[in-house]
Amino acid sequence: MLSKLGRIDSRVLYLILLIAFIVPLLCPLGLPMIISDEIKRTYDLIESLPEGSRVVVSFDLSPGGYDELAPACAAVFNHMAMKGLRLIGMSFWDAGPSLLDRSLAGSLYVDKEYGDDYVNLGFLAGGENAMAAAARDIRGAFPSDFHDNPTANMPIFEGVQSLKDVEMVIVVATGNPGVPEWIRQVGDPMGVPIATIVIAGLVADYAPYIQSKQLIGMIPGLRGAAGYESLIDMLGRGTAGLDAQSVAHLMILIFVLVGNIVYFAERSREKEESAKEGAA
Amino acid sequence: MNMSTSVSVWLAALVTIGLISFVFKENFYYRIVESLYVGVSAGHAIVLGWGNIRNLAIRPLGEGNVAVIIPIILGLMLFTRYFEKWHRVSRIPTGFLMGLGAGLSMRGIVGSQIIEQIKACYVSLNSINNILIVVGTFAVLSYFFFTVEHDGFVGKSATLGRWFMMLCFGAAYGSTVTGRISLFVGRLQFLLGDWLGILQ
Repeated sequence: MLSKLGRIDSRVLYLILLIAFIVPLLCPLGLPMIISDEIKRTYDLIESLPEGSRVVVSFDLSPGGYDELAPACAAVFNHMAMKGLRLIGMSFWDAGPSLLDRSLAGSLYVDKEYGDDYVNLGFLAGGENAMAAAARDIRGAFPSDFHDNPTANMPIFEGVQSLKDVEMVIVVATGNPGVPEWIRQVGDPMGVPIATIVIAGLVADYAPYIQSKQLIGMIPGLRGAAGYESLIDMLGRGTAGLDAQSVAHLMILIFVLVGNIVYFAERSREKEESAKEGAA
Repeated sequence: MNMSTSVSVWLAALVTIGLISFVFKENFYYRIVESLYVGVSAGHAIVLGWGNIRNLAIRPLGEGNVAVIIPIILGLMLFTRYFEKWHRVSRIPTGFLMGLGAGLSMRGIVGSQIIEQIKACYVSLNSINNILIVVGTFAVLSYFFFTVEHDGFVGKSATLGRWFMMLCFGAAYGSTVTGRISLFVGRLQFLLGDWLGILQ
């Protein structure tokens, strides 16, 4: 029995996992959820900003990571729109601006005034160098937006010269350039609070910045989205997907456990057999 | 059930299924979709790169900003690498880019990633978390301290440091698995919701 389990076709495991994903999506289980301090701190900071405050959202992500971060972006953008905050979007990854457009279209910003309440400045090549240039002179670095509108007379930039003049930066990141570069070029030298919406794979990398308070808050992937949706009382795809994620985690743990039991049992049987052969 | 009639949703769904089909077996459909992805990404990057050249070089030059001639010349010098006789010229803008990048990073790294991280270790030893931070920092640093033999106290500290790093790698690996699962949940929500209309 155990040896059969050890030789099971991996496609059978994929099928079991697929069922484990689909069933909770179709029939939500309502599993309990814990909201971490990092998520709560991001919520509190946005909640504390007065109406009309400007928040820079840097969409530094690849299409491959978008699905993980989209529910959290929708939740944060909805919160910002409800608070009347103005969103200045930009990207240092080439796929970022299109994905930002898509994210904004699915949020409450769709009913706001473009150029006054929100703007998508597009992509600027050059990684950290470009970030430093945008930090010093935002309209100089982005003379026109993603849709080719000139930024010189946009009302959203009144009184904004450098990023010192914005109230907060949110970095939506799947890698570098991303959070460390923003901390180096804007967070520390300009004293602008930075929060991040980040893929789960980078949470361990960025945790030291939370400890040192260089990052004010962190919303990690689907779990962060579910927590944030709960805080703003607008349940969405993050909450719906969390059950599926939890059940899939449980299945993976069972696979790892069973795999290890089979491995050690097989090894012990092989040792016994070789000991018997040696004695014979 | 309200299946989508949008061409873009259908296209995205078929491409998603094509990529996922790899877990069953590598197949022709998967290879087509993979090549399509690479091609679209390259095309997208070229279009956005051209947008940057237009906005930051050609347009300002047309408006009489002659200062942009310097970066334009430096940029054009990069193309000399395609000519054997002149390829050394491309080292000048490359060196400029390296120097600029290194200078900007160094300024930030010393302050943000060394000084601030050291300051973050000045914590009161009044909680298990704080004790773990201080002990973990010293133990991991001692693992990379190769000036003395790793035996006695230093050896034990280095071993402890290795354990701390193992725990960190485990956490990072666990987070990565979580991230991949989140991605798949997102795709399933798209397939079952946006495409097939089963999810509300």
